[in-house]
Amino acid sequence: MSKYSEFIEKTLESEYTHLQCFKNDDSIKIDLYKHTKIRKKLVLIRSKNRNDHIFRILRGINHPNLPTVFDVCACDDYLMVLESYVEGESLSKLLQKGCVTKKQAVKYTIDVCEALKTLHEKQIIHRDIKPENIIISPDGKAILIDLQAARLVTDTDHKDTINLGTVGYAAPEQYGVHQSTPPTDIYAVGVLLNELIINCHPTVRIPSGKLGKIISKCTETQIYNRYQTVDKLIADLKRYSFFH
Amino acid sequence: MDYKRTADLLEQLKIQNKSYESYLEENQDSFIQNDLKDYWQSILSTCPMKKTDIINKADVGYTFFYDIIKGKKIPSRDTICKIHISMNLGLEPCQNTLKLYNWASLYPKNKRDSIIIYGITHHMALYETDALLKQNNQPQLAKML
Ligand SMILES: Nc1ncnc2c1ncn2[C@@H]1O[C@H](COP(=O)(O)OP(=O)(O)O)[C@@H](O)[C@H]1O
Ligand SMILES: [Mg+2]
Repeated sequence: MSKYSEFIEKTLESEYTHLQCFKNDDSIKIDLYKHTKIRKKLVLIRSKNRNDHIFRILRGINHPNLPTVFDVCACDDYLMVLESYVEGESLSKLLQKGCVTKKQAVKYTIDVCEALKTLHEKQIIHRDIKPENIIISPDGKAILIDLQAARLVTDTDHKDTINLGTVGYAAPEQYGVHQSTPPTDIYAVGVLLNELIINCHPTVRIPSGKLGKIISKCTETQIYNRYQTVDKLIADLKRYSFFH
Repeated sequence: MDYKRTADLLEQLKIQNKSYESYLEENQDSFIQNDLKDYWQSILSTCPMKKTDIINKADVGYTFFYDIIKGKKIPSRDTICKIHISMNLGLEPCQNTLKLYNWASLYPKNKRDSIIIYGITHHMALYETDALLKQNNQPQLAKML
């Protein structure tokens, strides 16, 4: 407990109704609350992962493709993050239903890149980009959630890299001793786009044509052969969607 | 704790038939990291706040804060100010900490520094000090890591 977390808990108790628990295990508890008077919904994350510096940097930033972090609080045993609720369905569910068109796939990928652009500008590497962590809003926007694995480019302690991130989406350097940089996320974006279009990992198969070229450039094993910034990737994706 | 003088340490290092391991063993407590750890321990003992409360009020990362007080990481000048604004112990201890890390002391003739000094001496919270900085077109303290 800390003074500030007591205040947050009290406010939630007196002014909000608990609607749903998204997740509850040893390392993380995620709950959805709704204000009793206004319609506002809030997500409260209680996490053992101590990357509160990431959320402190993002606090107050409004971005169409990221949840807004309202508050961050360090407690003795865990970290508390209050953020906006993102309405919609996860991209993994939509993918299972088989209802993502190629056009939508490119649009969602651009949206994710826009979110990454803001994160990377602040030296934050997301490190867990995958369909489960992308929510598609009712108006068709992709919002990138789950900054549990995120870290700063300058965080040079590599010990926990193996436990975080998701197999298949994690870039080769995420398993080793290299530090995470923007191309680490770009690799995962390449995997994502491939999954969305042809439902398999780029190491299995890549579509032919311009999109395939973009995916290849995202998922090169050598970091320096990939896109170095999302800007370049966004430009190529936008050029593609303009001509198709 | 009884600190060894730097000159004495230097003489010990120069001794020809002495292994580095034995130097390390004899002088574990003399490294800066330990000095810093002791320093923070003593200053935190004068502050009645819980560490998590200091962290939240200072708006610094949890891990970063603990690395600082263990002497493992070097805080920026702004971070030192934020921690001191949060601890609310007055100006003297803040100037001492800045000196310890070889940062320039807060200087009343510098506009931004003078606002920080005003905030500390008037027991203002970080957000209040930041409001005053903004009002005077100076870069704010929060979000500067
Ligand atoms: N801001 C949010 N808005 C809507 N749903 C969220 C939000 N944050 C988390 N969730 C829900 O909780 C689930 C788990 O959250 P996530 O941050 O991905 O944690 P984990 O590390 O367990 O994957 C998500 O799949 C989503 O359904
Ligand atoms: Mg997730």
